[in-house]
Amino acid sequence: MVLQKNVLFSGTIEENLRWGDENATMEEIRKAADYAQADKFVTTFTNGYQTDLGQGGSNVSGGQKQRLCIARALLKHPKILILDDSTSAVDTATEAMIRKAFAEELPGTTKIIIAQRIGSVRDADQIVVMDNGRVTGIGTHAQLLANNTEYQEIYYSQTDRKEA
Amino acid sequence: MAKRTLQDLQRQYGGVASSQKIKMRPGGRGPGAAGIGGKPKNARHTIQRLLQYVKPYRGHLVLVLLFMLLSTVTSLVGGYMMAPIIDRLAGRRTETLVGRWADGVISACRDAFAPTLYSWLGHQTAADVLAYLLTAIGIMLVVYLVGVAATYLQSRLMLSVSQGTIESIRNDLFDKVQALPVRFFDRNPTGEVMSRFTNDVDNIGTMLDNSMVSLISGSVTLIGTFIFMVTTNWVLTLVTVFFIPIFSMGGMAIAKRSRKYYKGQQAALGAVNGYIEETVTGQKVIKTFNHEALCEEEFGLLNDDLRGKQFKANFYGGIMGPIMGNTSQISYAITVGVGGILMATTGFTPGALTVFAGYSRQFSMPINNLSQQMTVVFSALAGAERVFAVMDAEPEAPDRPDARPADGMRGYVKMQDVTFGYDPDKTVLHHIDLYAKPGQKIAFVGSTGAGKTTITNLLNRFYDVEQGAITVDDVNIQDYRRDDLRRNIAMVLQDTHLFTGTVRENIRYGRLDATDEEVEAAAKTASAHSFIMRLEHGYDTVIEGDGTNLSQGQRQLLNIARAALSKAPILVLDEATSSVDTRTERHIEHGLDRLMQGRTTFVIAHRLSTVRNANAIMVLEHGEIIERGDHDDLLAQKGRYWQLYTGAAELD
Repeated sequence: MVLQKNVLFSGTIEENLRWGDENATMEEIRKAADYAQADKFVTTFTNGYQTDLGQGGSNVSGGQKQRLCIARALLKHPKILILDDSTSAVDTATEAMIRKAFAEELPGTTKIIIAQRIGSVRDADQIVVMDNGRVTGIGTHAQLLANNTEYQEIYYSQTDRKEA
Repeated sequence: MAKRTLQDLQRQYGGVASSQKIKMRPGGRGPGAAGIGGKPKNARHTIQRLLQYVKPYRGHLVLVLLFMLLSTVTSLVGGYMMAPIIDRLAGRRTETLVGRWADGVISACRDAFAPTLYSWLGHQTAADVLAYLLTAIGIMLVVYLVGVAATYLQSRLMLSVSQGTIESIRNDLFDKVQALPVRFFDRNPTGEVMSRFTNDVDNIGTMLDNSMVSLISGSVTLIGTFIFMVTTNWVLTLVTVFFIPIFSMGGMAIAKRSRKYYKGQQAALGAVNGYIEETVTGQKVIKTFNHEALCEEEFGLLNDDLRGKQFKANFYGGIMGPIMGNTSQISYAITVGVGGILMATTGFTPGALTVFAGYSRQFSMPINNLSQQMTVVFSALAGAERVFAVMDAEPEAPDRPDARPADGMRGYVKMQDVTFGYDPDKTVLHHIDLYAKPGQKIAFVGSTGAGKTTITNLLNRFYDVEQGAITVDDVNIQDYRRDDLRRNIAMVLQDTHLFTGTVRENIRYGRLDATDEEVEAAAKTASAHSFIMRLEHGYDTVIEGDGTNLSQGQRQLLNIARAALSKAPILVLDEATSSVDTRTERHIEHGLDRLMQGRTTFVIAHRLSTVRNANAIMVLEHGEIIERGDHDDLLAQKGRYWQLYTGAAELD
């Protein structure tokens, strides 16, 4: 599970990632970080994976924190991966790369994605639209766009106005 | 994650101890506790400035000093009355200087009241002694009552001095903080500034009404006791004085050790606190990764470390008293022993010995007390120094003498070749050139740290530009009165900040002289009216704790209403809709659109959808405008903006 409120702990990046798997090898750690698009920025740090994160992970930016949290969850090799608004601070391009990695490298993992951005969920097998604790629609992006007003509203609020 | 060692944990969490000030209970156990505040760097200068604050209370202080002397003298003299009493009972006369004098006073009083006394007692054999005794007790009573009254008055007066002093220090400090530039708060975290008001000012207060009195009265007692001891018997005085260095050395050795352990205890406590804080905030993560057991183990390590250090610190702090007490018993025994020999060999009387023994015992007390109070004084002076450092910080530069008012500002904003850095050697903005005609909407787009917010900070004169110029209506903003300039700029920021008070009061913050009708009109402009009317008490609903009873979107609407109320011709929207979801944003945008009408608007946004209808969009990167134009131009350029818009590039 990757939560919206990402909490990293005092310690090095490696120590934090090992929360997912204590006995992971360095290759496994780097691979998970690579899927989460974190390896690239971690290796630019002078101390790489030994960089101290400071309390609450205060030494990295919001988007970087989220990517580390995803890597941490991937190391757990979960059967079910829940991403709760976990890429809100990651830009759309990087997010797309993360999604691509998920699709290619973790085909057997059930992924539950909670998001505000339509872009984060439009490729999902099934999208559940919720409002005030009620499910107002279930379907694929195309289906919902065709017949769910809520979904349309959200969709148009995030895309070009000319379509609205 | 594998379990970390204690050393790792201490290293990673130990920093917390220094950054996170652990507030000591006043008079925390053991002498080490007082040393936390550090040592003043320039004590003399600090004392002189403190004296300036105490100066208005000169009259009070003179009285305090007099009462203090009086109470010290009465306690010494009252004690000495015992000597003639005991000696009388033993059928002897006290031969010491003060003893003879006391004896004389008692006898004189007894003679003065002789008729009354003897009419009570009759003329029995013991009547003489009894009359003497009663008189002596009566005099003692009077002396001690005077002492009590003096102490009472002295502490009352001193309290009014100290409280009055720290009140004016707090006032000056607060006024100063209001006048400080934003730059100051960049460098000094909120906690630090708060601690000036709480810990440091408190320490000064404690020093004034506690330590100063203790120090002065302690010294007076010390000198007085010494004089009384010498006049009573110089041989015994020598014996007592001989033991003092031994005491103080022993005491200091223990104090040093306990201070060391207290320091260790503070660090360990900081680590434990940091660990708890982190695990409580990260509770969900710990649960999803099944890390409970590991956390318990790691916490156990830290906790055990704390226990050990706390034990030692408290042990050394705790044995201090008993050891000193027992050592003083030894010196007491020796003094009394020597006194006994003197009594047998010379004319030294039992009464004098009793009194002397009492003095010798209380002689070492002020010494210990003095050294303890000194540490309080040092930490208070260090605190005062930090307080004065804030007071000495450079305030916002005063307006130029010829600064002009900004009435009727139209909002024609120009930036000409503006180069700026918060640190002189780290430039944030490079050669920014732009203009906004009255009523135009200018948007800034770019990564975090590209300098978007800096531009608006400069416009508001939170910081002053040194290179280049910013003009409004062709007048350099530094030539306007700062208050006037800010009155003409309305801001809606990402972080909504509401104050405790009603909805109406919060909106009125935008312009204090606005009528209720104007407030409601502003709320309508901001699309906030309908939700406010749905609140339980409408406009009189009390907002608590930064608006926790409202949703993020509602809070932002109130902020917009606030901005709408001000008639400022210039409007800055800094990520005004970033923290709300896109649907709420749609709602807010109606309010924003109406707010922007007729105002020169600067928009900073992460979401590109909010900036597309701007007259001009500036794409900032590393403090430079790399692209500019309207939405369609920029898309046609297929440059950075196009990349961002199509999601091909990273915006972090």
